[in-house]
Amino acid sequence: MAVLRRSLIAFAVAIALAPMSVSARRQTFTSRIEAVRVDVLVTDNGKPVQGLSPSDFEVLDNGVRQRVDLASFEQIPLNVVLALDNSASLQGLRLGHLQTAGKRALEGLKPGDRAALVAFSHVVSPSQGLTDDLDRIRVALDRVRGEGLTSLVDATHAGMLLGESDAGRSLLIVFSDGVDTSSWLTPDAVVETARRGDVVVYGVEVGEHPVSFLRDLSEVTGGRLFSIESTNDLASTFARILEEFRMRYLVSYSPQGVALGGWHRLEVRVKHRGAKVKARPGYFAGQG
Amino acid sequence: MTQLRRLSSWVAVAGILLACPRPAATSLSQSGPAPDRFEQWLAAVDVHKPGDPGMEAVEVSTWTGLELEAVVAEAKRYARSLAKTDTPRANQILLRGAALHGDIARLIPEDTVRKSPTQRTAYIVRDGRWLGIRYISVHWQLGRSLLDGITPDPATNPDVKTWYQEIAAHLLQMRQFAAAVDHFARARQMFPSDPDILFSSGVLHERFGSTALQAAAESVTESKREASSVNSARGELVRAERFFREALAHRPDHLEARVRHGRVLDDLERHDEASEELRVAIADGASGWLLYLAELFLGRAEERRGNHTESRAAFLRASALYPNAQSPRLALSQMARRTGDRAAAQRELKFIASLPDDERRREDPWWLYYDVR
Repeated sequence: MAVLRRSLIAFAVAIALAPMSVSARRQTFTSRIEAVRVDVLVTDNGKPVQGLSPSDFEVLDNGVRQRVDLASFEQIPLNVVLALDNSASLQGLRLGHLQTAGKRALEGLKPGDRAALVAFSHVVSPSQGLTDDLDRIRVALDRVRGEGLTSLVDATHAGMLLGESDAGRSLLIVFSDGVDTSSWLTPDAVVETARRGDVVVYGVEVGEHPVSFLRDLSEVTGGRLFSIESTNDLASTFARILEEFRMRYLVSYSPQGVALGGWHRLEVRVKHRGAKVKARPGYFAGQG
Repeated sequence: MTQLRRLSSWVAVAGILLACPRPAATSLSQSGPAPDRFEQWLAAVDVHKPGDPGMEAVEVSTWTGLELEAVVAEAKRYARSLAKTDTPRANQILLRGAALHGDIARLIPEDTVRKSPTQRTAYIVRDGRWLGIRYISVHWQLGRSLLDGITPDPATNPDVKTWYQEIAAHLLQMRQFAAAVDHFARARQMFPSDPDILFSSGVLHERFGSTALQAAAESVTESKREASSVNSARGELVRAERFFREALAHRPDHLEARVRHGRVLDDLERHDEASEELRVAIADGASGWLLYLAELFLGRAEERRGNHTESRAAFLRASALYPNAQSPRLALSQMARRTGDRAAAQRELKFIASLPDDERRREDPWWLYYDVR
């Protein structure tokens, strides 16, 4: 996951440039210190808490308290990947809602942000990789047709890889209105892969029956699952996700006093009365 | 891909699950039909051309379930009596009657109206979710009941076996799983060592163990409707494994049964046996889409055994057979990512991104795995 082989000093400098330029983001840094970064949402009565500094955070890595070096807020450009179900159940009005929602998400992006699209039925089409040319995504959205079966798990895997294809901070929004009917990959395998990455997954499902895969995936990546009753609410949900993601802190620390490899259980707390903290429950170090 | 389009149609995508418990049988069949109904039935049987929904079949399809049950009971009594002097004629009436009722069930839609108090219902599911209910045609059961009257023993009559095999294939093709459960159960009682019936039974229960059908069964239960007849995924796979194994015991050269057996073994976490079974299928000459699936399944079995080199080789062989198929490439990217090779995972993703946009050129036999070819 977030074991970044990059100089913390260079990282700090990069964060100070708000918004970070695309060219700076693509810069390669020399590996000197392994840093772990965690996306953290802090809310109080449902509203994001702003203005926290590194000293306000307490991070326990496998139970060992760590010194937080950085806690940046709304400064780092985003990689937003949309993985959108366009199977046969998405036709007519519902498809229109989906296309509108995708475009609404794009409207919420800022200069320096990038987006990608994975449209899927049984066919997974990650044909539009991360780009800052958002018109290309809009055109791809207009081409989406509602037909076929649902390869939700396969498409989510492709979406996570797209999110990792650039060094930025990645959000994957996965939308589906049905259960998986045609994936080759298994939910367990993809959730396991998600534990090894640093992409935050927000799932959006419509209908009365929850999709356990999306729930599990959102949980292990520190994201959230939105269950909506109708696709009428899709555009506002996508906008809300983007807004919420921007309100997250990127907390960074250099692990001390813990073994290097394997699964690391994470606990993130803040010194703010009544605050709720949402972050991924852990990360894999070593192979990943 | 034409088949996929067909899958996307509303009816074809529907899988149908059992729902209601069997109602108490009525005793009306003992009272006998109106005399003219039985005569009409005999006349219909006489003129019916198998496979053709002629007017006589349409007429019989309008009768109530109770009338039909009474007619079939009368037909069996009549055949039993006739068999004392003319067994071939008696059996011919029963066989032609079964063909008539099978054709009504296949060709004349009637599942929105309840025909009989004993009629069972099925859930219609699509995309893993239930959408409504329909009735299971009473004519399947009527056909089976008629064939039970064949003398001296229906299990030794080749025409009876053919009827069961053809209806079994039809029910699987049309995804009428609810009707298939009873049909296959009776078929196995009658022909316990028939490899085709055992194979079809394996396919049915493998399908019940699939993610989509399991999700559908779950959605039925969550909706506080009566539980479907689908057991847990593992329970269904255990049954499927037994049927495939028995089919292979009677017909070792049944390559599709061997490939499916290998896949089911792998899902039951018997990876060594799965690998062995799939290698036998490949060595025995599996070809085309079946070879692709065997390689794909072998790749997964080897991955689960920790043999990443062999797994990768199998996925690459599958990809070579169907270069535009996404499944082996997704498998390779997932394995690369899990083992920490991000660059290789990205290369595979780029490969998938480079596949044709036109889905008709993206043929992947995995998508049709649960359908009978």
